[in-house]
Amino acid sequence: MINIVNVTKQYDHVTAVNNANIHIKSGEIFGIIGYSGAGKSTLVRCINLLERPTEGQILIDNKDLTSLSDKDVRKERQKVGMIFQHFHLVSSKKVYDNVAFSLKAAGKTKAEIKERVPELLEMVGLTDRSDHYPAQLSGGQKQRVGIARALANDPKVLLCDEATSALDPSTTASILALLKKINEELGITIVLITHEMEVVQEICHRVAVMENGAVVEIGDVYDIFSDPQTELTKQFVQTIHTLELPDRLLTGRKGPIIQITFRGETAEDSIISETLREFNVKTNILHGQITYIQDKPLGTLIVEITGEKEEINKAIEYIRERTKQLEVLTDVA
Amino acid sequence: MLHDFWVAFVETGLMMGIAIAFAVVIGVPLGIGLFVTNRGMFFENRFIQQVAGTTINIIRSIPYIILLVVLIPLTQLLTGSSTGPIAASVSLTIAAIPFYARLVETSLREIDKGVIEAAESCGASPWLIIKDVLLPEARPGMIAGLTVTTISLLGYSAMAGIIGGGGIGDLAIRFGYYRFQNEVMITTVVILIIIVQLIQFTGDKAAKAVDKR
Repeated sequence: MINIVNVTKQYDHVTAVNNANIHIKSGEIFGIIGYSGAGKSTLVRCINLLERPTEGQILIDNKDLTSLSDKDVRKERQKVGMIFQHFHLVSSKKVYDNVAFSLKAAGKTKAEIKERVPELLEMVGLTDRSDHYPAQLSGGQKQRVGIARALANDPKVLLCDEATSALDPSTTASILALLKKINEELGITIVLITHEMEVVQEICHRVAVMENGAVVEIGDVYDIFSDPQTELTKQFVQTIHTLELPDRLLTGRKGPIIQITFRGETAEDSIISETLREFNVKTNILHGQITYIQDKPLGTLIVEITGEKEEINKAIEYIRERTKQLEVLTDVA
Repeated sequence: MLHDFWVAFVETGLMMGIAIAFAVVIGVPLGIGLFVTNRGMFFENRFIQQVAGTTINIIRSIPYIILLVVLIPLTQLLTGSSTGPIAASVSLTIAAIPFYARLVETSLREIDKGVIEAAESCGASPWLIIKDVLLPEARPGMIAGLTVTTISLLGYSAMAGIIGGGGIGDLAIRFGYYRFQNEVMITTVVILIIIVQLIQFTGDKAAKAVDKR
């Protein structure tokens, strides 16, 4: 649906985006995560050509936007809505007129606008705020106006530029729920950039990780969480799924301490109790966490295994085989 | 004497009215033009920027009293006379347009770039963005700028009296200064103070009324 092909954006002395290649599928919620300055904001602006890529192409439904004239680009932008961290509403216009602006831009008649705006406001739950000015609204309400404005012309794609970063946690949750609903009910493809892993965990299907203008990792959110490849991705995963053991626990143990990661179905299996039945060892659970990503569990367990050395090794091998992900943190020789 | 005051008042009103009308009609589009041809804006154009910017700076750096004299031939050409309030309005207009254009540009610059970007992301044309985003968003600043322009022009209009432009300033100089009628001078100054207060008060009210931030 959206094809970002070899996109590079060069400013005078800075390469904001360096040869990015991303294919975004129709109907998915695609996250782009990175620290500030990673180039994700620039990349998302390349998608609707708010920033023209220095090199490379942006294809939406196989149409190369970079080859279009300004006028045709404007027409394409009506099919690609966008919302922003700081909402960017027109402060001198009432909520109604802010939403109507999008429709005006698409050349809709007054009658069409009059019919469509209330529909949009109802969808975002702001019917009673139609006559308010943005300054009279809360952050969450402003973002809802932004969403209504972005969706006015029935876009195929919604770009979200740190859309929840300026909101408090409960408002963030409600905006994310709204985005999810928009994705599921209207089938709109969502591209969402963020620096918060919680947001990715909450609603994204796939995610790209960016650093210094380059895409360093890309994949299903679950795979990224359960098996991060790069140091940066590991850092992001640790922000929500982390097991920090106090040093005190790591020293003076009787047996090796192992960290087991359970993915997908194995997270629901009773591996530990089976191990205890099969081998003559004892386990002592030191720490554990299960995180649900898109309703799939990802579990991490830190246990100490005690018993005969041979039995311990067999038990570790058994678990390693069953889970594929086992790390020995300390090994008491 | 009261009649003289009234005539002077009408003359000042006339020359300022003409100058302000032109300042708005020409200064607003000029200010918008300066803004939208800026780097990174949708009509980015260095040539227009340079030419318009430099012209405005040149006119603004000429002291008004010099401008008044330099423009006498043009005034003669346009109005057929070099005295009277209509003639004075020519140089006032020339001074007011670049002054106000810069203030319009400044108030446009104060608009959050993100708001313009958001409007562009909706697929809006530059014209629609100017009309529906830039102008309404800059309105409080433009009204405040018009207040400043008007008050400055009032000061200039007094200078126009020197070459026979008429108006309150002329009255103050002719009667108050040349004829040593201190009470006339004081009265005109008091009138000017009241007018300035009124303009500022009205301007502030109007700017506040349209400011929804």
